[in-house]
Amino acid sequence: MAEDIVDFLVIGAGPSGAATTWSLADTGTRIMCMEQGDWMKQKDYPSNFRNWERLLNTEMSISPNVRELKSDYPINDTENSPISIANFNAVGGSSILYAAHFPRFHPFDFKVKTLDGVADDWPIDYFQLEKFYDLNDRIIGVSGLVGDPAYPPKKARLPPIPMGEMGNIMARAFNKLGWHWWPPDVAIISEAYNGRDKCINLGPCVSGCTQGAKSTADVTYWPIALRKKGVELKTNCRVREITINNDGLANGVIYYNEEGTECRQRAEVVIIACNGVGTPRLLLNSISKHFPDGLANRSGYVGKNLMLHPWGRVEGFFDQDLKSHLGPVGCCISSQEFCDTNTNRNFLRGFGLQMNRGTPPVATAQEGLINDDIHLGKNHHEEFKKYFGSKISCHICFEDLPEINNSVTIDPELKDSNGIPAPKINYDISENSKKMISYGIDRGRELMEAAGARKIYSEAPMRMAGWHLMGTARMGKNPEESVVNEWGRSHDVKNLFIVDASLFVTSASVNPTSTIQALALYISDHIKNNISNLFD
Amino acid sequence: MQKNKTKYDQIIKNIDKVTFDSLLDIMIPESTDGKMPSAKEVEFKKYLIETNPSFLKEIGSKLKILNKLSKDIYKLNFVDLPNQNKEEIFQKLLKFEGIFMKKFSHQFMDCYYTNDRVLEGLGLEVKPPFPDGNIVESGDFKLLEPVIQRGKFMR
Repeated sequence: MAEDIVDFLVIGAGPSGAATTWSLADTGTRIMCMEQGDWMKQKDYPSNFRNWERLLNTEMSISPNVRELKSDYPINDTENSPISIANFNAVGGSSILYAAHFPRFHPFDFKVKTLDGVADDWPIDYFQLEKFYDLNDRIIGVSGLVGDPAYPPKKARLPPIPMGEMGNIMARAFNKLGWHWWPPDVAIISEAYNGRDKCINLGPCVSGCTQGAKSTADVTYWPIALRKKGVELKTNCRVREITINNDGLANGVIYYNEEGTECRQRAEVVIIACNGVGTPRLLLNSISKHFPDGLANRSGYVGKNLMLHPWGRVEGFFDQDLKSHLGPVGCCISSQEFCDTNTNRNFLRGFGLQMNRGTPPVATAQEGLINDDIHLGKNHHEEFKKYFGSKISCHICFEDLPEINNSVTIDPELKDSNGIPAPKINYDISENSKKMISYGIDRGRELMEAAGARKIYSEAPMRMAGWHLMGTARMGKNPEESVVNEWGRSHDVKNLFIVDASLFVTSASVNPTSTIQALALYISDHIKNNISNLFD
Repeated sequence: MQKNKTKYDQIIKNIDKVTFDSLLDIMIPESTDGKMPSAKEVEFKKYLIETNPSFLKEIGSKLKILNKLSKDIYKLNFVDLPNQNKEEIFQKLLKFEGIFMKKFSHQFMDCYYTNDRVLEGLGLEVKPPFPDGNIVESGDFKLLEPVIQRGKFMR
């Protein structure tokens, strides 16, 4: 029997894999996407249950090492990294658990070398991506407010998500200090959109959206991609390695199906969409005589330059009950005041401020005990009342520059349930980042003081905060210093593409998913437009 | 499964219920207005059986330490002490068994603050977030005026 060969094999059904599959379906070719997880069911998400606070820290934890689901692979992020990795493996990928804060990179984020003399410029710029940012926003549904002076003009979006009283307080504080703030782009629909119901402020967005109002890849791209001819999505299939032929071209993958049986799938073109940790892991596990150091790794850059966005938080407690624990947990106000380089500071590049909600009852009590604000004993009830509903959280996203020693490697011992070697994170916070963190935490405290907080706590870098996995197979024009070219094709393997945040040359100071999906659409568009001479 | 159940039944039997309830009541007593229940009324044992049954064994041994502390200082079992002295012994337990008490308190908060009576006492509705959701006011977007006035500021 002849071997089954698909035209495009996309590995990973998260935000980038979904957008890529949807876009490439226009070619009328045969496209298969393989995903190691399964479809999620909205009825199973924690917000359906009374014990939702516990579930979001256990079964739906952001850490694969805590969840230990069948679809997860372990990550050694304890031995050599102050930040642990967050991800999710399912149709929809990590968007299932993201807070859906959905900012774009700024034009100046693509020209770091030119403007600041460090890191590198991207081989593309904001304006090449702009129409794909717009297309992506339109497909998935984004809420926000046009007119933000920190960005070039954007197309109309759904009304902003609610700020609540906590938003008013922080807006006044920003104004008092003369700092920029804006109701940000959020991938949560504030009005019914494309057959999905609007957000009803359930709260725990970061454990899956029962309402389906969070614009995750499983409820946005996949339903419309699967209606197109030639598209197939195979779930519970974990790819072990990409295989190559004698000419050094990719010719398929070896994977394990749901029963754990080793299988093979042939393909004309292989596209990787496994995120900044999963993608280098797969490439480094794909060893052959042509690529003894890992597939597409003649540059030696696969796995290098890992960027994680060190994360900080400054939390203020206020005298009044703000009911701040209610509403979409993610960002209702963002500030770009400190995103860009300012030569008066002692560091380059910058950070974004994001105003997040307070904490629900269980977390309030648990944090109160840790902070020594709430005690067990006869005063417990009075102390709890002072802290519940009165917290506003300012999260700080710090831009980390690419550092060659920050990397994803293959752990020599740790393996997943299929026996595939697991990734190891090697990450250190640079001197530039340390100075930036110190300055940023001071600004967060200044902001909370301006808002009138009676008590302020701060923490940075937060350990359980490796949400953004970037830079480990970066794009560039020079094959000696990058893994893929300016449209995502491997310099070394002409029928191998990468479409996830591994491509990022620099990390900016904002959340990456909007840029990940715009980039995936940009690369897919290039593939479609050059399909007759794709390998030239 | 049955074997485990029997094992935990035995552990629970071995836990001195009176002392345990007395300890919980000191940890979180009923509020003065009666709206918030005492910790002994939130079925913590049932919670542990469902979430972390192996922890029950540790609790059993710590209750013995609690009684020993009580007898060493006051020559009485913990349950027989007046509240003020119970409070003192409890503080000693927090000090001497710090790591255990942190774990214990963390789990206990999860149990207490998901209890129906506790949520009602806080003025919250006893239900999961879905399907009703929550009302959150949109906020005052007129506050953006100074930001708009300032205009573009990026490179």
